[in-house]
Amino acid sequence: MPVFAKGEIENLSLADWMNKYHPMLVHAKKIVVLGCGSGVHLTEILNQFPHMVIEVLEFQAELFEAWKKNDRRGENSQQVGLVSEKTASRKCLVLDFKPAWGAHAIDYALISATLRDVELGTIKDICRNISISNQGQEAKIWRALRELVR
Amino acid sequence: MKILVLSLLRLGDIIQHAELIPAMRKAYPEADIHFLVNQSFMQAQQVLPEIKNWHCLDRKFIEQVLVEQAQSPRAAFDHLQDLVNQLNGLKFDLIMNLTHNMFSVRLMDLLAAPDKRGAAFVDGKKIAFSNPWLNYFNDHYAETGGSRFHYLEILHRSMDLPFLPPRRQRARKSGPIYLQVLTADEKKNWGLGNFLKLKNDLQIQYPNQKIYAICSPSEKSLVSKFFSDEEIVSPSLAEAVDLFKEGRLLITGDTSIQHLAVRSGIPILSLFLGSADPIKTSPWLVNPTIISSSAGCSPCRASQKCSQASHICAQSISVNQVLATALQMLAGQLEVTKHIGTEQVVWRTYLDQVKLSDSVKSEKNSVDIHIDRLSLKIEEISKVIFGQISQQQAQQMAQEIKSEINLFKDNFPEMSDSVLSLDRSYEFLDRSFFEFLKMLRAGIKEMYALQQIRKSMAAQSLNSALSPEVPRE
Repeated sequence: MPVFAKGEIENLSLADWMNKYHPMLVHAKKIVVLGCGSGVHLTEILNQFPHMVIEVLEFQAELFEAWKKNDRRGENSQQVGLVSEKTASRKCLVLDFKPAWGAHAIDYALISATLRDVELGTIKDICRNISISNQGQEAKIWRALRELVR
Repeated sequence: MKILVLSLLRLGDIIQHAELIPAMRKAYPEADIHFLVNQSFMQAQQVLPEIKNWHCLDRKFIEQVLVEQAQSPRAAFDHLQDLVNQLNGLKFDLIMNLTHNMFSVRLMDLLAAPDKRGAAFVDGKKIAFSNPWLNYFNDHYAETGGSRFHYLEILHRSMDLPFLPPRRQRARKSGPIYLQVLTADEKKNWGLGNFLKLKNDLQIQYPNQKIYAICSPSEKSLVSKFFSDEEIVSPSLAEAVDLFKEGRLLITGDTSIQHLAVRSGIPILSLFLGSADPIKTSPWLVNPTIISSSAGCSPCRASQKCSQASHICAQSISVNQVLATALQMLAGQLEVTKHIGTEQVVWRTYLDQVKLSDSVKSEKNSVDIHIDRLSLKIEEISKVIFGQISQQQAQQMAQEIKSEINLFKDNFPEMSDSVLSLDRSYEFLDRSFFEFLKMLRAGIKEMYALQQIRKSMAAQSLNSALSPEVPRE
């Protein structure tokens, strides 16, 4: 289970958060953002990536509604929508906005881990679990990926 | 014919790999050539118009997913799977692995084609290299201390492509002089101070000569400490090609810009320091002009830090030395003689001999098998003379012999002439069966004789490994 460093939530600035995810956002077309809060990060993402499709997971739906009133782009449901744990897209870029997690921090952390398939482990773990005799396409693809990050 | 080239290294390598395309065209004139490159280097398509079909692997995305784990690893899996399925859907006839690293070897295991050349796995197992040049590439290429062969010569020969000699550079009388003042590797840099002194000394000799320092936009702040803004150009790849087409001279380290410049015909003076190997990655020219470090540790390993207390590589190449060579090039007076070392000759002869004996052996088996089969059938059909088989049976055998002749011509089109007599015998088939048989027997004897001549000529061609190559104009 992920553990937060002390002060991690309170001290994170929006600029730092965007800097952290920016290299990955460049390649993404669709993202899942965990935590809405005031939505400043959603606004900033849409400012920098106007065509990004965003799924927002927020336990307090009214927070999302309040943000939509402030930022009209939120009303384009094709582009920005509220999702639940069950409907959130897997395999998308998952952005944790921890300042908004509050009392639901543990729940968000578990959902984040699930969406990112953390239990699969690293690519090294995945390849370790593939039998040497397995020469199916899936096994070969994992082994090829392993070479890219050696 | 569709060919896929795996070119998953850096920009300079992609530009060099494109130099193999004339050889591919010579071997396969109608081929549709595709290149697979890293997404980061897709801008290469601006400067390599001879490559019409590009595919890309987003290595950076895959690394981010797998290392930073901001997404499920399945996103990386899906990306590679989609790429593999897309490439397999195009049904390539030939795939050449010019990348020669572990990832490319595993990628070859995922891609389907009747002919695959280069390092590859088959169901996770390394396949033995049938080409001795490929063996050499695998075993010796990464050695330090100086290579025996140019990278492109090794690739030509290990991919079973006809070896086409490099381009020839000619002096130019006008245009700007360009100085590529930095490389991607600190060890390969001659020094901005040296380049500035060189520029000033050249200007004294040629007061009206325009001289520019070339660098990337990110390097400009560093370079501007030595050169004024008016003296610096930061072109894109395509713009660099246009500049070089009109340029008079390029003085550069071992960079991708150097390989790009080869294509534009600008005379090049290369400075090889650090890990830059003047034999392995010199400009692909008949007689490249190179000044290399005399430091005993050069060329060193690319991945290691410099082992010396100071950059003795750069110190061993004086500004006066570079200036003198540049002045000779500008005056069109430089004659560069390419020295072919004994070791190189011996290795080349050995590798070609191993390859030749293998190919002669396998070809011998194929041609001889055809000739033997034809011979047997002709002996069989001749039994009609003694009444041992009926005319009807003989007619049927005649058609089988015809099919065998056509099969031989399909497999060995270059030897079609050797079956001319056999082909002509069929003109007699309707008129006189016995004349037909006589021509068949004469024809097969002719084929045997021609095959013997070919075998002795193949043995003699070993000597051609020692004769000088004819430069390409």
